[in-house]
Order: sequence, then structure tokens, then C-alpha cells
Amino acid sequence: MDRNDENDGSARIPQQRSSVPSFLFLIFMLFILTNHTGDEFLARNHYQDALQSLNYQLSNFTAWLNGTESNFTMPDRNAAATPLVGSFMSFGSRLNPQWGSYFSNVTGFAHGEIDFFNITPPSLGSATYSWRTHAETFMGDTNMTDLAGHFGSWNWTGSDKISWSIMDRAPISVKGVTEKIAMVHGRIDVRHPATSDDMKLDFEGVHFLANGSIYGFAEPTGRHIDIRYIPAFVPEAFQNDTARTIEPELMSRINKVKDMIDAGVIDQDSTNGEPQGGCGFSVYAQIAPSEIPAKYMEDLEDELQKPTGRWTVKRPPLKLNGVLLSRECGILYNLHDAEGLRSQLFFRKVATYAGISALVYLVQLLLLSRQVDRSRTPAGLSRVSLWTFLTQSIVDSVSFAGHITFAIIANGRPSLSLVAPAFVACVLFAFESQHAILINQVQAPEDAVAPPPPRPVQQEPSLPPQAVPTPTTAPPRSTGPTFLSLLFRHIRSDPQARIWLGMFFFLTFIVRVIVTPSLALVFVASMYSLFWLPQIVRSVKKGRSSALTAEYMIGTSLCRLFHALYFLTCPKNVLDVEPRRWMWYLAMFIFLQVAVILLQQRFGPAFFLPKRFARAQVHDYHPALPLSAADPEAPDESLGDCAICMEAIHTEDEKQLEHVTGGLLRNVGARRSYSLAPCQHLFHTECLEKWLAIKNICPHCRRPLPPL
Amino acid sequence: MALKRINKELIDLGRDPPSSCSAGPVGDNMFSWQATIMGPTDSPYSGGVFFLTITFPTDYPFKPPKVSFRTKIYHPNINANGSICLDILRDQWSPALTISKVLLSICSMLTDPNPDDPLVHDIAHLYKTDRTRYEATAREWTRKYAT
Repeated sequence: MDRNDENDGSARIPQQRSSVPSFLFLIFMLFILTNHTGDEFLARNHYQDALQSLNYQLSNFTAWLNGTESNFTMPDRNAAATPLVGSFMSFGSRLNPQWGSYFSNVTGFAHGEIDFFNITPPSLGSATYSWRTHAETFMGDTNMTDLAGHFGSWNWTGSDKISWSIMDRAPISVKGVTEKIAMVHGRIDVRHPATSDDMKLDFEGVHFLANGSIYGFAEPTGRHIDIRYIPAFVPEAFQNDTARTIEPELMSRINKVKDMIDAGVIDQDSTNGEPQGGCGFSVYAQIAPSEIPAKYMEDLEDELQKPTGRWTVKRPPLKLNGVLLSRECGILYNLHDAEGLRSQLFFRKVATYAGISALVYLVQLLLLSRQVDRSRTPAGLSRVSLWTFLTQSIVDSVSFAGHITFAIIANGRPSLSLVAPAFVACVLFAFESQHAILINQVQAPEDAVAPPPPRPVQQEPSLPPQAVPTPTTAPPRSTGPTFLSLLFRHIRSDPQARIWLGMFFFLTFIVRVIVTPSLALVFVASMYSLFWLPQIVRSVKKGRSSALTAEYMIGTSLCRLFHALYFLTCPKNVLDVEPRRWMWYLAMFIFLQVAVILLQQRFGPAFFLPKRFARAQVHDYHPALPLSAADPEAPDESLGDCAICMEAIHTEDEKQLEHVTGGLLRNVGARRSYSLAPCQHLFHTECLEKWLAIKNICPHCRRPLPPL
Repeated sequence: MALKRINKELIDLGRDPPSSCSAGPVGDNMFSWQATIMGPTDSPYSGGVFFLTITFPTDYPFKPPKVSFRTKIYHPNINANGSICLDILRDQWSPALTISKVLLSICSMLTDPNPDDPLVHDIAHLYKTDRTRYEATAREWTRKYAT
């Protein structure tokens, strides 16, 4: 509708132009969405291969178990491993069920610190460790040049933390096996404090329920773990039982792969079979015993698996000690007092977080709606900063995307509770961006430097027929501009292309923020410090204090800080983010800003600046007009007509008042019946007030007007 | 306030009538006016007399008046219902505008249509591609409906 826009040549472009970028964008999105479907065929082949090798492994293993001739031989156990490991941790013994027990299932997540030890003979040289001789025997005559080849690019020596996700199966009962043995698998992430990446190791092992010991392998992701070798690492007494348990496990894996091939379920993640360099470890771990009798422990486990709400004993902490030993790299990691969190408890924690988070967002929504109610008029809107709401809406959109991503990718029903905060964040985002758009509309005239020419007599530029531009969608001529310059011009001139492009960058940005931890921190720090700062700047520049209420600012700051402080200062948050000290400074900075805004409202917008910087930009709508130039005694003294009501603007009342009071009221607002706009147009105060409630431009010249 | 201002405009229109336009209330209701526009001589509408209705909102002049053609007219910015696509009647309204200024704007729109913000796309397309045929049709309609 705005004819003004169309007067510049860009908007005369025929409408079919805009379909080109939309089309390209859609194609791009489709490409992004579908570009890996081609791999499915390869993945299927992978599965077939895996099935074949598993079948081969099984037949060899069964033959070996039965004592017949086979290609499989169990490697000799390294006799020095047990004493070496034993000097770092002690393996548990069977407990009297009356007095104590072990957790029978450790499915969940364990986090802990690790100490690094280099156990290659040269580096042990002069060290006085008690386990030195064990290490030397263990390493034997390893070729040192081979060692260096295994390390790869990962900094093994500096790594100081691991997080271990464990999936503990129910023990398999096999005929002739008396020991309760459960297969465990999972993933071990080795962390280095300086890098955001983790070294990912796949883990396979066995868990002896009776004494709470876990034995297994950890190999870098992509390298295949042959579980047939596990019996070589368990204590001699358990070796046969372990081997018998592994046989049915292999069979069940074969069936699983068969099922997957039959069902056509191709899991993309499991097919990236590129072996990476790195160190393979043997893992020894021991669950710390608890003092709870076995009977109660069983109850506790049942209640956790299938909650019924009945009373159980208090849950003892789950602690793990362990050793990760790599002969091929000469590394020993000692894991001490790793804290385990059972996955059910974790999901309960996620649900609690989701509930509180959704409530916090609801409070923010309430605060926002109250604030919007209060600053609905153009006068109010012109006193709030656009950027305050824009940054908040960006933060909320990222929060929405983050919550919804975790709700979807983290499988398991409990994670779906994250949809609740995601939904409220989305609503909040919609409200905030809507409010920002409203503010933008009201404040847009401020940026317009020159007012448009007077409307009614404006002549529309006449278009001679030959001046009609030819559609530019034509394919680029060979002699004409290059494709790139055409594309560039296209993006500059076409508003829709700009929207698509902006949206594309915005989405990319959001995705990057969610998936890159370091970028997320920068994002939080920058966005959170930008909430109220623009408002302070705007108040100073416009010489008007803000229209934000203290309730809104303090409430919103607190609610926003809930999320930031939870993730960045609480050491046991659901995302397992390391606490950062600077978050406290950021929180203080935010409240400092709020305090400044509140003080601005009380002591004037530039109270903290020296007097000479505080530019008096406040427009005085009611200056003393040079009435005396006319005859002061003239009966009908008028300053002209008000363009809004078309009545004359009289000053008699004030003059009379001045006569009576002897000019005493001159400075206390007695000249308020007329208002002089900055563009020197005069209106009745009452009329201008009504118009400014609709739009804050001058009715005469359309220049933006400051609040009255 | 609205009534006062409408009365004022009526008096001003009588004192200083714009050329080629006239306007005034239909009956007793001051909020409902009728206006006429003579087709501008340098346009295909010349010789025609076009009738319009003007309805003032109760919060006039803070909201624009509703102006529509009652005479059928062939124009890219005016549709079959007589609705006019003119920015000052919508979001570009200013309380400093008057009915006489609005009518003058409509007159200038008759001379110079704005085909880039059309209400009737077919007419706008014809206006841009085949000016002579557009003018012929406009003249034909003016002869048929506005004389």
C-alpha cells in the first residue's frame, strides 16, 4: 500500500522475480534433508558384511568352546596385568547378603576424574612407583616406535576426565553357568580440558553381579570390538563361565542384525566404519559396595525399573573405581570415585528440570504481557528499546530450538517432557518478536531523515510506456553481467530474497549455537549482556527514561538467569556442563544494568554522565512564543489554526492568567494549551496528544516527533 | 470534535471550492457525504462526472474517512465495488489532510494511475503493456457510465 516505497526503481521489478530465490531455497532445504539417502544402499551392505563376520566368529568360538579344532584361540593372559591393576584398585569380593550388596544394574552415566600414568619402560626410568616392576613386566618388550604410531592427534597425556555411559543388560542364564554375568556395553568419552571435542571409545564388557566387578574393552569408535576375547581378561576362575555367556550374546547379536536387515531399518550412525587411530584399552572397574542388605537392594532396583511409589531404603551413592589399561599405547588411566547416575534418575532429573523451566518461561510470559499492556501506546513504545526485545526473542528462539532438539534426539519417553519448556519458549519468542516489530514500526520514522514531500499535491511519476522495465528473470546473456553479479543484484533488490537469505543465516546460526558448545557460551555471554544495555543507551540518546517497569526488568532478569545459572554454575546440571565462574560476573552485570535503568527513571536518563555529555535533547513542546510581537492588546490574538481540529490556537487564557498571577505561573506549566513540534508546527496540546497516541509523526510534515 | 471539524471543512469547501470537485453532506447526517469529481481533461476520463460517497468515522480526523466511487470507472487502483487503493486513505493518513486535499489526490490519481500497487491486476497489466487499449476502454467506460 505504501506508494512511497514504490517510487524507487527497485520495487518496479515484476513479481515473478521473487519466486527464484524461494525456489532455490526450497531446493537447498530439500537437498539438506535428503542428501544421505544415497548411503542407504552402502549401509545395507555393511550390515550384510557384519552379519557374515559375526556368523564366522560364532562358529569359530563355539568350536573352540567345545574343544574342537578352530581358527580361534584365546590369547594368553598377561600375568602382570592383574597385579598392576591391583595396585590402583581392589576388586570386590562376595558380600554377605545380610550386611551389604552391590548395585545389580549400573545402566546410566558415570563421570569422574582420571589420572594419567605413562607406563612405557623409558618413562618409568627413575620413578619410584611401587607398581613399577609390574608395569615393566606388563609392557614387556613393546616396540616404542609402534607406540608413537598409535597415539594419533589426541592429547592422551592431558586428558583428565571421562564420562562413561553404561548399558547394563539383565544377566543371561546359560546352562551350566552358576555365576550371574551380565553383558554391558556403552561408550567412554575421554575429555581434555582444552578442547571441546571428546575422544570417543566404544565399550563392551561383562559385569559380575556377585562381586560388582566389570571387565571389558574400550576401543576408539569405528574399530570393531571382538567380544570373544573378553574371557582372557577376567579372573581365571570366571573364564569358562564368561566364555559360555558370550556365546548366546553373539547369537543374539546375529539375530538382531538379521532382524534389522529384514526390517529395512538402517541406522546411519552404526555404519561409519572407518577405523581411526587411537588406543585400545582394557577396562577394569569395580562398583563400590553399599551397606544395604541384598533384599532391600533388590526392592530398590525393582522400584527404579517399575516405579510403584512404595517405600524403599534411601538410595546409596553409586561409585565406580577403575583402571583403563592400554598396552599398545603404554597408558594407564586410574579412575577413582567416579559418580554414577542411573539413567532412570537422570530422566527424572530431566523431567524436573523441564517442569521448572516451563514454569519460569510462563512467568516470563506473564511479565511480558503485563509490560506490553503498559507500553501499548506509541508514546510508550517509543520509550523502549527495540534491541532489548529483539535479543530476548533471539535467546528464546535458540532456547526453543535447543529444547526441542534434545526432546527429539534424546530417545526415551521422559525426554519428551522438554517439549513443555520448548513450547512456552516458542510462544514467548512469538510475543517478543511481535512486540519488537511493533516497536520497530513506531520508531521507524525516527530514522527517516528527510520527510516525504507533501502528500496531496504530489504528482505520481508518470511512466511513459517505453520506460516499463523488461522482466529481469531472463537468463543471463553471455555478454551481459555474470551470474554472480546478477545474483548479488537480485538479492539486494528483492525483499523476498533478503528474507530467505536472512532466514537461512539465522537458522544456520541457531543450529551452530546448539551443536557447538564453545559458540553457545559466547552466545550466552553476549546476548545476556545485551538485554538492558540498548535501553540505557536509548534513554540517554533520546533524553527520555524508559517505559519498562521495575517488575518486568527484575522479574525477567531473574527468570533469564535461572537458565544461565543452572547450566553454567550448577555442577550437576542435566547437560553436564562445566561450571564457569564468569557467569556470576555476568549476572552481576545484568543487575547493574537494571539498577542503572531504574536510577535513570528516578534521576533522569543521563544522571551518570558528566553534565557536558548529557546533551539536552529533550524537546520543549511549550516554549514561550513571541506573542508580544503582535499587539498585546488585540482582542482576537491567535497563533494560527491547529491543523488537526482546524480551530484557532488562542493564548488568551494564559495571558489572563499571567495578568492575574503576575507571571508567577510562567514556569509551572501554564503554557500548555499549545504545543510546538520540533519542526515548528503548532498544534493544540490536546489534539496532538490524541494523534500521538495513534502515530508519532507530525501531521503536517511527517517528521518523527518525540513523546509529548 | 469530529462534528466541529467536519462543519469547518464544509464551510471551507464553500468558501474556497477546489476546481473540478465538489462535496457536501447527503442529508442531515454530517458524517455521510457525497462528492463529485470531473474527469481531468488530460486523462481518458475527461468529460465524465464521477460520484463518490464519503463516510467519516466518529474519531475523525484521527482516522481517515472512507471514500469510494459510486460511478463505475476503469482504473487500475479502483475496483468494481468502487474501493480506492490510495495510501493517504489508509496507513499514510494524517489529521492535517482534508476532504478537499483527498479529492485532489484522487483527481491526480485519475491522471496518473499507479500500476505498481494495483487493485485490479488486469487493468494494471494492460496499462503497462498496451496503453492505447487501456485508454480506449477507460474512455468507453467513462462515456457509458459517467455521462
